[in-house]
Amino acid sequence: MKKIGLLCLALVLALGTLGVGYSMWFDQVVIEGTADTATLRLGIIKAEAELYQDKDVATVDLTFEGPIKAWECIVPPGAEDYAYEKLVVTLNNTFPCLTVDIEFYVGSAGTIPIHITGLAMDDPTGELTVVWTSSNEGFLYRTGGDPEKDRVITFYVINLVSSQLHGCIPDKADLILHVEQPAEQNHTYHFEFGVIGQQWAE
Amino acid sequence: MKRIGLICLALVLALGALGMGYALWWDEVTITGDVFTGSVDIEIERVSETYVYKDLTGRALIMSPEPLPPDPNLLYVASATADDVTVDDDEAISMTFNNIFPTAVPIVADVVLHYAGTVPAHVVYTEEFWGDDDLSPYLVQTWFIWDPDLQLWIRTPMADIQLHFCDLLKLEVYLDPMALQLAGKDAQGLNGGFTKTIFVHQWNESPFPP
Repeated sequence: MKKIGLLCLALVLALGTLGVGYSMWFDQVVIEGTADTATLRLGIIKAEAELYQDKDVATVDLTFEGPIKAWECIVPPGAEDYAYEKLVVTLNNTFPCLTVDIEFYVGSAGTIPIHITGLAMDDPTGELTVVWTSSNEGFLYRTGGDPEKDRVITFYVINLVSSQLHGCIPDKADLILHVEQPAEQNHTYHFEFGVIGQQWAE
Repeated sequence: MKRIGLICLALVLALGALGMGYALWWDEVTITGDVFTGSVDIEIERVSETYVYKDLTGRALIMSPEPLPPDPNLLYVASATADDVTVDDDEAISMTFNNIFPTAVPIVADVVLHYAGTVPAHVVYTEEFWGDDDLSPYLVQTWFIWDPDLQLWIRTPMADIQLHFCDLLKLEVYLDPMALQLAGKDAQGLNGGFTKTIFVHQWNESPFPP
């Protein structure tokens, strides 16, 4: 029994020695990495509206929603403290032939430059259908109606497409709305206007 | 008694003479041994980096292997850097991928390893991911072996890398944000890290590490 015990001990020691031998016959390199990916965010940082009317009949309210990040740049003068993802424009007591010029600034609220590639207009309720007549202008008419006879709002966008935004360099644009004759009385129309951007190098 | 003494003396002298004869009739061979053991040794040869800028005039994306001097026409956007942070014999690299976004040409950091061991080696690695976000779906690693005849880096599968004295092994690392973005997942704003340990062990022993 004593002999077997000694044999086992010898075996264990031999295996241990083998392990030490193997563990010394290697080398290693350690790579430690940290990574962060960029963010691409368009933000609205300032907006003003001007109503073109002889008498102060219609009014407009502008509300920002969805703060993205603090806007710490000094341009444009009078910018909001935050870049917002949404601007809500409410036109009250409008009438045919009213023209509204919504001047707004968009900037890059992410970490990479943005190339403005397009514009979008939609009525999520489906009451109005959008027709683009060029890359920066179009109109909304009653869904199912005649595009010309049932035209409710005509819109134009000035500037913006092909702009590149980065850092503290925002761009100014104008969304001009014109209320048409077929617009109904005592009615609320809803639309959403969007600016589409992608990373500048694509 | 005197006679016996003489006989003994004669015997001693005879045996002595025989011994002298024997001593002249021999030779020897000496074997001297020196044992030099081999080595398994991987070293960091060099690292390379990528810096990404936007040309504010031409709007082009500019990639540079080194930081460009300050220029009002250049906007720094992203980088992949690698630093040799070896202490004593503990070879180590620190890689940093900053503000990574999808690009046609990946934003790469790489390390070239020189095999200085005299015993052929086999390469294996372990890696772990940590931090706020799991970067494993985005991390792309490509291995190359330098072909001195062709003067080219030859892409090689990781599972089959064996190194011999003076071989050069390159590991390119980059993040591919498009990997999950194509599957409809947002790869923006990720933050994480990884630790990758590359082992070389003598080629005819496996598995390793035990």
